[in-house]
Amino acid sequence: MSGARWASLALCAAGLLAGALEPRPPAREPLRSGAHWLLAVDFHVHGFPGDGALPPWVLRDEAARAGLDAFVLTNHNRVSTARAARRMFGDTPGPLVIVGQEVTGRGFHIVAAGLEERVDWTSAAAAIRAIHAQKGVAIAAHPSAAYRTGWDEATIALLDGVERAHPSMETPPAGSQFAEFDAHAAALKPGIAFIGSSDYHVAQTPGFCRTWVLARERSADAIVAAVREGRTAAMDMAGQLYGNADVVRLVRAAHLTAPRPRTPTVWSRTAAAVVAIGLLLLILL
Amino acid sequence: MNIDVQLAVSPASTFDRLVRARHTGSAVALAGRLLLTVAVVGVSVTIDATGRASIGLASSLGVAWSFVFVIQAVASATVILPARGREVTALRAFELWCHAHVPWSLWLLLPALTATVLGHKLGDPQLAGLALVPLGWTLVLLSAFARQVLRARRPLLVVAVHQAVLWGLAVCYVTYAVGGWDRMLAEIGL
Repeated sequence: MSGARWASLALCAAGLLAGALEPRPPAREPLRSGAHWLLAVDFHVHGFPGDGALPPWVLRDEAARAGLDAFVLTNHNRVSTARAARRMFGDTPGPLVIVGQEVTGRGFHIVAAGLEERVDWTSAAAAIRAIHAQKGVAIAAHPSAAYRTGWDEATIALLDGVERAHPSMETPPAGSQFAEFDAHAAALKPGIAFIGSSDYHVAQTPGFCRTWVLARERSADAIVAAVREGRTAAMDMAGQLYGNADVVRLVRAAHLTAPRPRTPTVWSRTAAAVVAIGLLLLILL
Repeated sequence: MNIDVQLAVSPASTFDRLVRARHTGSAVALAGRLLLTVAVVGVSVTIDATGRASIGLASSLGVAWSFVFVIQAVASATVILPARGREVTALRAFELWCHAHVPWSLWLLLPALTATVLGHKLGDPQLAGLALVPLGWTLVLLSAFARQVLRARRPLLVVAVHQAVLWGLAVCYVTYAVGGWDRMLAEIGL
């Protein structure tokens, strides 16, 4: 190997080492509110293997960095990755991993949280009944016009929650379509849970939009129960809150701010640039 | 200019020279080449998905995504193993094909470089458009590989078989990732 290639390799290694030395952001303690926990949860996260880029062990670390207390791993029509992740982490410290599925059918997507088995995707109503049979909760995912043809009023009334904050709401007309669908769902089912989620695949960060959940304990079952009982508030990327008035008040009182978009520090960006340049030189020289 | 870049620039003459240089493969050389490509995949995925790069992240994601090399190995095996005219061992043929990683490696590194050096994140449509470059470039390399290394009488057939297996397996993974064959068939009305 030539001297230039050794130098490129050294550059790459130096960048990777510098990236590893960057201090982690301090861990955020879950908040208490009387007898309840006020937990930050992302209900819609994709992982690898699946169409998400990150395997569960990296995803969990990213969720911790984003200040999440829990996230629901919701691969399309699969629960295997989520179940493996739950088994892998057990009771170890860090964000809880809740088994979920993005039930992906024609004209509807449903985020299911608190599952054990895969749910059939052929109709929205059948999927919601199957989710409830497993004691899980069903949330209408990104209900813009493209994902709405599979819904009717009776099916909407079966829902436990609706995604009110989602990164795609920044792209018109999705934002107004979400608001319209969610208002309709709330009229059909007063007290329905408003959910904020990132729908993380590769861009942005888990928790980019998130849900504040008032749970009786810090467990997957308690988070699912809180959704069923409507004790949630969705927070979008601008910090706007939607949902249960008590939860909104608690979040405001605790001065919980908008989730920050992924903004690498100068240190980490420089380290990453050094690695990428080192690799480029290694390929070319 | 290293041998991989020479190969990318003038594939036929470089493959020919490499075949003449050595007929038997080296497991060490093959492992080194694979390690480089695992590093490219690991680093590009870690920067795209987290905005950072560290030893832990890059190795973790490199290993997780190394299934793409299994797909590549299967596709290569379908054209290397049955090639009766080749003058090099199968191991050497795999090793030589691994030299042809430059177009896709550059494409993989591009979003990481633009994000970290220029602070500009490339969008999915831009990346998809740019993928046409390594796609076409690799077809040229594969065609030269079929002629110079495999000594194939019908190099275009080799290219077609390799690409069909490669993209067929890739489509299988994507289908798994987005919800399964049953859903895909339903989406197209079957």
